[in-house]
Amino acid sequence: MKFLRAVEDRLVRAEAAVAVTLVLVMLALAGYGVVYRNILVPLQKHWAHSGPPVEAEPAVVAEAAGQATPEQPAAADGFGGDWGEGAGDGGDEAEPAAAPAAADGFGGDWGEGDGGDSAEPAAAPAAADGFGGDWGEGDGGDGDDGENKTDNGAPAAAPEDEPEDEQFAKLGRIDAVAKEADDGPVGGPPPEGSFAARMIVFIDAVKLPWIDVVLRQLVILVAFFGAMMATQRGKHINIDALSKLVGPRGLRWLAVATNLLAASVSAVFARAGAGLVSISREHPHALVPWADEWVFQLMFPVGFGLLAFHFGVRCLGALAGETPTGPGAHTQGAA
Amino acid sequence: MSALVVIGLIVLALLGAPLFSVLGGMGIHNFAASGTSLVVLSEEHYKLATNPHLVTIPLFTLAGFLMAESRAASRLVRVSRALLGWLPGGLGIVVIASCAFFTTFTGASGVTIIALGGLLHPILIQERYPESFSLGLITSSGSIGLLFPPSLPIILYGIVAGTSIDDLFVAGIGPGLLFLVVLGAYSLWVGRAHKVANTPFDAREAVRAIWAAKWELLVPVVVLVGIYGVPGLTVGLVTIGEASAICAIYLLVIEVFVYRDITLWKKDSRPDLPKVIRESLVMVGAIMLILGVAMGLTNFLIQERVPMVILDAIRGYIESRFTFLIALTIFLLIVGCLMDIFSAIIVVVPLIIPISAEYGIHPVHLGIIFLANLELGYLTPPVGMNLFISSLAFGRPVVQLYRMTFPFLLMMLAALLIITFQEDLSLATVRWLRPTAP
Repeated sequence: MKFLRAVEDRLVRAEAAVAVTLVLVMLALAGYGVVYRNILVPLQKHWAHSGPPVEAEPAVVAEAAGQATPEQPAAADGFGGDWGEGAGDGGDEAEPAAAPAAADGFGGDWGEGDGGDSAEPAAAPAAADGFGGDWGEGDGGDGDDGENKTDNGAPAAAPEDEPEDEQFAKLGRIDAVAKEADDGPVGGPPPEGSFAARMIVFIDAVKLPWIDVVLRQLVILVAFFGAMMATQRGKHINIDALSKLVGPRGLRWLAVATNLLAASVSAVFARAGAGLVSISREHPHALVPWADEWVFQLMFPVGFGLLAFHFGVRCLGALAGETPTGPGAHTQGAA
Repeated sequence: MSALVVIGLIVLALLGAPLFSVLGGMGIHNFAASGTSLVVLSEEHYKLATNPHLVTIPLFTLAGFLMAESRAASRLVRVSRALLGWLPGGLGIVVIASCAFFTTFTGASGVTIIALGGLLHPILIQERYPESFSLGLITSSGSIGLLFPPSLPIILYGIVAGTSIDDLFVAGIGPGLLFLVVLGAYSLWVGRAHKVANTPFDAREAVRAIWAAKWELLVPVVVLVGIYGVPGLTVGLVTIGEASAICAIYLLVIEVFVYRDITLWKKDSRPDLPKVIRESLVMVGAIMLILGVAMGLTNFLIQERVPMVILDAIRGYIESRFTFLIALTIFLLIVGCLMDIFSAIIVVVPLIIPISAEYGIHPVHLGIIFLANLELGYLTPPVGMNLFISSLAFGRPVVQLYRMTFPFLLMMLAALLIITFQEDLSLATVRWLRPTAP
């Protein structure tokens, strides 16, 4: 038992260190995303129109904007991006100068393009022809299925409400940009080699289109580490309405039973997670440019496996007569 | 056999088994019984990664813990006291305002009672407020900010229910204010009845207090203006996910580098950043594990049309919308006093949404009713969570706290019924601030 406890202590320390690091990475990535979308992209747009005026095509811009609104979703062929939020392969902020041509294959924001690699599909109604969004999961690409599926083929959770939510939130901005395009003369692209042209290329170069996808994977990953720490501290959420009626001796057996249940359930989920990984390895799919989906899915067998280990140690500890830290130690709300 | 397994799991749940293991056990049992591959459980869990709002859970939670671990509580109390302390019974309003602000960001009401209770209780007693009123007020105010944005329960509700979080944020403001007004009015009345001395208003102290807490007072402005803009002037600039990142980074910077209440690493008695992150992760892990494990179970129940079976069963007894809302209120109050708010959202919401839709309840209004009921459930005897937290924090028998919180419970119940039956209290704000919302 002593050996197991020592192993667990080291494990917990390592888990805590990794978890803190991952949260800091999350913060850095999320902060970078905010700065990129809300500062760099508008600047890039500004620079993209800083050249000598060219003949404007406002009607086309307005039409493109109109087609992408929720009232006429079907017109947005191959739509694969958010309203300027997504980081679609083709377009998004990257090619603002070409904005007017963006009706077909709309790839996020005002650029043309092909639907976007990891575009946030939040704004894409399921009816959109060739919609390739899938919650920004990265398989938008050519938008061939148009059915709002997750990467493993299962239907996405609650796909209808959230997209509308995001969509409406951005209507004001869409209108503003469309009006801007309608109004004055449109600046053309900046002269080659100018500061503005170089900045446009630079902002393109520092774009990390996979941030949103990775952030969401990181949330599940850090949650596993949080759950491991909650296990060690006896802070999992529970109901615990009757354990106060149990005597000290009964508490010990209760701790054995509850920890055994948790360990068994975690072990079964770990096995199910291993199944998910093996299926994904048979049909590899690059979730981000530098990793396949199964790499992220490894968190299920590993995370649940480690949880099973922690609960197993607690169960053995209770069997060996250590002070039960199970039911009594859990606090509702983990607060 | 099947019934035995389910009963066994429910008994273990009542005896304190971690809720995720009970829900996971039920999911495994149902999938195995129906011959469905258990891999689907993991697929359902993994689907969480498709939700664009998922990142708000750890980031807003971290923001709340950064506030809770710093000395934000005392700065906020000072501001409230300087601004509202001159009112008759003003200190009671100070308690309500401070707790509401704090709970909005920390989400879990237990944190509020522990962080602010120890600070406010001695002040209330010193100002000669009755003991039972003081403890009743602190206990009741412990969950009072849950309806204001960007409270974590609202976000979780939006994720689980698939309801617009933007709309829920806006819809919670009116009902949340009603709770504040009701408790505030009672405090004013108690202040007058007991002839509590008023603190004269000191403009210089008010300015100094606001200046000292200026960065924290800006947090709601940063979040709300970022998401919604200024009505009539600007549109919202960032998504909720981006707002959560801004909020967490902003609080990290001000608590670590401006106020220096939190250190970057362990060096003295002040809390350090890794510790605060770990504390917040414990809560995130506990919530997200239930959320992920329950995905398989709840989707299975919905596929098996369990909500419709319940609907068919109750349709004979409950015909009108009014009766349904009364039944729902009673049911949710029971749920609220048995389960904490996060697990209640994950387990109960998927079941009641289809049933409520049949009775014509607007999904956003349903969210507000649900959260308001659970807010009250924290105070409902015999096992409301706030009662036990206060009992532990102030060393009083829980039965005493039943008595102390009873007047507050009655008033909040009256407010709850108004919130439930006056749909416009929730939806009018949505129509005003988000006219394009469905």
